Amino acid sequence: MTRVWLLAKVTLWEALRHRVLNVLLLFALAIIGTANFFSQLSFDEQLKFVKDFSFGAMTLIGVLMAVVSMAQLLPQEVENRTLFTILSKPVRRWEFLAGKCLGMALTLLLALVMMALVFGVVLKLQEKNLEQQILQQMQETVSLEEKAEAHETLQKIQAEVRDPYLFMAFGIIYGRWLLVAAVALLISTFSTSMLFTVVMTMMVYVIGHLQSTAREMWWHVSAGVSTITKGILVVVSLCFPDFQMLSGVDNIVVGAAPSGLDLFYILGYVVLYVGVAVGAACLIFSQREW
Amino acid sequence: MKEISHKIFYKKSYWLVAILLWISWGVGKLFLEKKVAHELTPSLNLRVSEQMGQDAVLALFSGFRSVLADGLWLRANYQFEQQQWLPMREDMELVCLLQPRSVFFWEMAVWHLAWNMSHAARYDLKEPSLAKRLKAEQSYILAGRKLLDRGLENIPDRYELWVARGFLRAEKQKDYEGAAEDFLKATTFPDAPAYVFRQVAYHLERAKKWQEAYAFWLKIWRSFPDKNATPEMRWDRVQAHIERLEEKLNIPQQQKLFPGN
Repeated sequence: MTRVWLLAKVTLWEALRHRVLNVLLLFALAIIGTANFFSQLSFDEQLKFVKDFSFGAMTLIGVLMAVVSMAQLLPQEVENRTLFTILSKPVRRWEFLAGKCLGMALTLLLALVMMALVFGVVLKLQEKNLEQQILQQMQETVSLEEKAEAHETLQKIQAEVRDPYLFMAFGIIYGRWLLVAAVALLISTFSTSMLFTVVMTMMVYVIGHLQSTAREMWWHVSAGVSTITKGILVVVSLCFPDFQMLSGVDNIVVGAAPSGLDLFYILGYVVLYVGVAVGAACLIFSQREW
Repeated sequence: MKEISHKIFYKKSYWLVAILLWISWGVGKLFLEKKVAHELTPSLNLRVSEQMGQDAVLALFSGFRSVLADGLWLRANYQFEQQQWLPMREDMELVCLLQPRSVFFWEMAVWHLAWNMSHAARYDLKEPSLAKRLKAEQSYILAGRKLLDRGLENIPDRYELWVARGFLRAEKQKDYEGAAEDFLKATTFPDAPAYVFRQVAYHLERAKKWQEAYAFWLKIWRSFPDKNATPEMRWDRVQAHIERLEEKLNIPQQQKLFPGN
């Protein structure tokens, strides 16, 4: 376990010095930082759009970070010859892979914390801005009803900004990143180039968003479906993760957060998927020759 | 030679185990997906993709459904400013399909259709025929109502859309009794604001259901014993309605809630 932890720490430090990852992270922070330019919209729209925009940026950049970091993991180790040095020590192959995975998971967690902090600041600024507008309106109005309405709007804004379910959204986004990273790792264990891993993982990511549709068709549509089509549907349903399961973030933004039990299922799904993918990757990696 | 083939077999067996592991997990995960996915992710009508460009479809299938919906909504806002009603209507309906759990999108789309577009159709200076303008107005109101009904199929568990349908039925379709039913449904949600309760009785009055309206005003009055704690109920108005109906219904003096007046 010490060896795994040591490898994880080294991977984390390496990732922090990785230019591509740093640039991607800066991009994400910049995009989230500029999310409150929807100032011409109503307050409902402003807050929703800021959240959607920020979560979208987090998802996109996080997925790219996960794919790039995992895809370059093994090729870089081989290219630098550090892989052979490490494996010549009393380190098992699965320990090497597990350490690298843990290191990357920590890197992504660190990136998530940074993005979440910037997002929090942006949301707070937006809240202050909207509060000022409403307080000004309240001062200008004399009608009691309008004042009560403005007060209600203020409370609504505060509730939306301090929504505890936003933490649930961060959890789901992190789950998505981990899932993509695990798939990229699995592919990289048998891939011959980094480009192949990146392209394959992105394809899995896109197909993963259609997996639920394929599954529904496999189960519920039988008329007019050829055997070949059915075979493809079965393969897609069995071999690809359902990324739509991780779209709960959209529901959180519109005030329809998944229940605690649903969240448990989602995170359980991610943990099991990552476990199986890393397990399969370890099996393949244990027999790989260079 | 035997050693090499043994080695290859040994190596391949690891691959086989990895593939078997993946497939058996694939079967196992289906149960979890079946259990959770249906509740969490509203099924996406694939026809949606036919109405969008390639970039949008790619965004849709990459998990950026909400960002795409927001983008289309911004475009619809621009179309509203330009009074391009038809493309605006298409975009709004698409947004509602993309984010069927968003009360905001349904509410606003219906408001644009049944209020703004219908009003614009009625006072369209380019159309000289009043009959055609009225027909166009009605078609927008009907489209708004249909969209709202679909919204309620998706979100029956929030008060907002019931209130929206109540107002639409009352103000645009003159169906006051139906409106009162919708407002009554809205009051069953714990976060329903105070005015919704008043709307039930008020629309029963508009439907000329005097007895029912009186009973509901009384119900409101008796449901909140501490009037000072709920100023948002506007008790002065509630009292005025009760007094007016007591006169109208000839309630005996001793049975009146406010006998002194």
